[in-house]
Amino acid sequence: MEQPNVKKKILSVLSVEHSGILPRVTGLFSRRGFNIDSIIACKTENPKTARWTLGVTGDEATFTQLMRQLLKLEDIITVEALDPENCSNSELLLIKVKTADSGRASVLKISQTYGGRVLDVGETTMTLEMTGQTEEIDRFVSRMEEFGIVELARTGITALSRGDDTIHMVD
Amino acid sequence: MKRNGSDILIECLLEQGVDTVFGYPGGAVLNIYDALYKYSDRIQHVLVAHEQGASHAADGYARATGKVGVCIATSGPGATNLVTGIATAYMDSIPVVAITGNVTVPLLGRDSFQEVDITGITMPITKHNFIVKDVKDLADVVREAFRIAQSGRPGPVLIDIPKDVTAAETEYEPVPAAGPRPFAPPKEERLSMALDRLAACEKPLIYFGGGMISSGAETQLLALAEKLDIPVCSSMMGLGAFPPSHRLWLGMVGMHGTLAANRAARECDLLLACGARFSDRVAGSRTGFAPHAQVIHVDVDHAEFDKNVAVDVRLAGDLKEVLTKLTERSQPARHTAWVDTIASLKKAYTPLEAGPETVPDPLAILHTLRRLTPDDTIVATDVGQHQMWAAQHFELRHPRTFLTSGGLGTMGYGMGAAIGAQFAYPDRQVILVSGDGSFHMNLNELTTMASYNLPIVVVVMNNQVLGMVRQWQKVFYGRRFSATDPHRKTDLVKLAEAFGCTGMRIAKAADIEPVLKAALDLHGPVVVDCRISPDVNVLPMIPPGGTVEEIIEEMNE
Repeated sequence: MEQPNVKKKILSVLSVEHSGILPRVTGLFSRRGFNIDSIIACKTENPKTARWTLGVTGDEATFTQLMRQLLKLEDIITVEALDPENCSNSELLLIKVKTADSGRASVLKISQTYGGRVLDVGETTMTLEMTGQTEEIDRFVSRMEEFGIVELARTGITALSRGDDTIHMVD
Repeated sequence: MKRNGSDILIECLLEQGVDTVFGYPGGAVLNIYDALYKYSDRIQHVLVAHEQGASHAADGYARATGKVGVCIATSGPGATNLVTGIATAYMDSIPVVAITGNVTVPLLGRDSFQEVDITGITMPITKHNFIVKDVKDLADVVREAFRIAQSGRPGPVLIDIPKDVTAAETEYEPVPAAGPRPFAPPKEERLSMALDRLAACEKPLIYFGGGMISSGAETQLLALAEKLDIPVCSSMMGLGAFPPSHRLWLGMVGMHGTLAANRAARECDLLLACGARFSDRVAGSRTGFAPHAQVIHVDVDHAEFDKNVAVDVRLAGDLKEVLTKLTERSQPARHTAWVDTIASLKKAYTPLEAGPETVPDPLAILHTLRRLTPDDTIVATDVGQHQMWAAQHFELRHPRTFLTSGGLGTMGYGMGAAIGAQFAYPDRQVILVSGDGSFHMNLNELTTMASYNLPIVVVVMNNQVLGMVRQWQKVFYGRRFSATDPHRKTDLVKLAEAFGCTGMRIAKAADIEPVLKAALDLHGPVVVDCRISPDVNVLPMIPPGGTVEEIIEEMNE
């Protein structure tokens, strides 16, 4: 059911870097009933901090409450909400597609159009890699459906703010 | 100088001014207990009957003093037995540091004997927690734990220490306690917004909660309420922070609050919420609570803004500072008609007509107890009907004199809490008001009361049923009394005596005063079995999700 005021947002979070923080963040989401579409954690330019990128769906009140709750965790340094329309964002797709019955040439052609790259070629399948914005990847995946998707993996969205801004400036 | 982890732990507790800890020994904390033995002249360890009692005692100590309460338990079941107490402290924002032992670092993660992932278990019920795998980190972790527990909105912090870390040695240098982090000052723009609304309103109401007690802002609250002539109510967690005999005091608000307070919340045009969180026991209906009011919410925790009720002015900061600034910058005001209208709804307590053989009335017991005890008496409660009666009828005259589990509603909380408070204030009167249901949960701590000869008066409102649940069954479940009539055969007087306490009984109305006097004069551990009727209800009552429009003021048995 389509709910009004519900939209997708990207939360960019800077935390202290250590192994125990993942369950603190995911536990907070599950016990307060917030839905995560995707979650990525990685090391950053600073060895003491980690960056999290969370894809979240909800209304404005949910985002606000979520950000305030995240900031209460001792290990969280800053939280910033990024508008997917107005930030640099990308995700990575790995997809294994059936290439029997002379489909190989068509798969390669479509893949090139989307900027995909061949990672591996099997007897009856081909594994491709593609990066791009979520919607672009969605479109590419749906194009591959006609050939038969054997399996796929996506990293989920990762993002940085546009221009010279950094999350460090957010208080 | 090189010291082992256990010595460092105790030294760090001393750095923080800790002189009392509550706990129970076990395999994984043997080294810590060896250090406690050595330091016994500087730090008192109180041995409880069950670790849950230690966690509630640390909580009660913290609520009564405002200092951080400390409890210690061994690994595995010792640690899990603390969980209810930690959750209780978390829900009521009480600063507690819980220390658990664990198996040695090489045995972690191998399902070793008495191993449990207590940091994983307590993650959702602590402000933060730590496992210390290197003795070099220990001192700083303990210091940080105390800082976190006390800073901003207080809460419990757990430190899990594997046994080999308590034995390993490292350099230790004492460091003075850093104290809580300073509060960020309130934003000027938000203060102005609040002041504009306070100046413009005609029917203002102050609603405060446990934050008023944590902040210690009762003087500033009184000054603001008097200068601006604003009636005042509080959640159960705030009781004691406003003088109950004051003309502006309306009493407790919410499910079992007064008609005056709930009516005021319904009709006010401005609500100043201070250190309160609009819990479902206060704002049963999130949209029906203060529906006509501009809401100014003052709280130290940003995440409370708009969490349960949408507010108009979010004023983050320490209550003491915010209330001082609001008072200084406001012109005196009078809201005579409003205050008179609302105050006229206040109801004085009128004792029931009672012959000498009548069944004792719980409210009469509480009023008599109040009359017989000093103003600074500390009352702990368990959870249920007796708790609400105590909140409504034992007039609390000072902050930090009412120790009760508001958020989690922990039956069995009061026994440990009373013990903690009595250790904090050996010379003050401490009373536990309990019910027979709650009392049966943690009565094992009578043994602690007896061992330490604590002069706690335990008043058990014994109606032989699980009264609060039974009351809900009366109202909402067609009097189908499922599992609330346990037919227990416990003789509470004999039980008390078996534990080495004194047992007394109030069987009829005429017993109330003489028995309570005798219990108070005993200056030793005593249980008073009050044989009240199972048919007394907690009133008034607003049904869950409802508003004052649906308030129930009278009920048949």
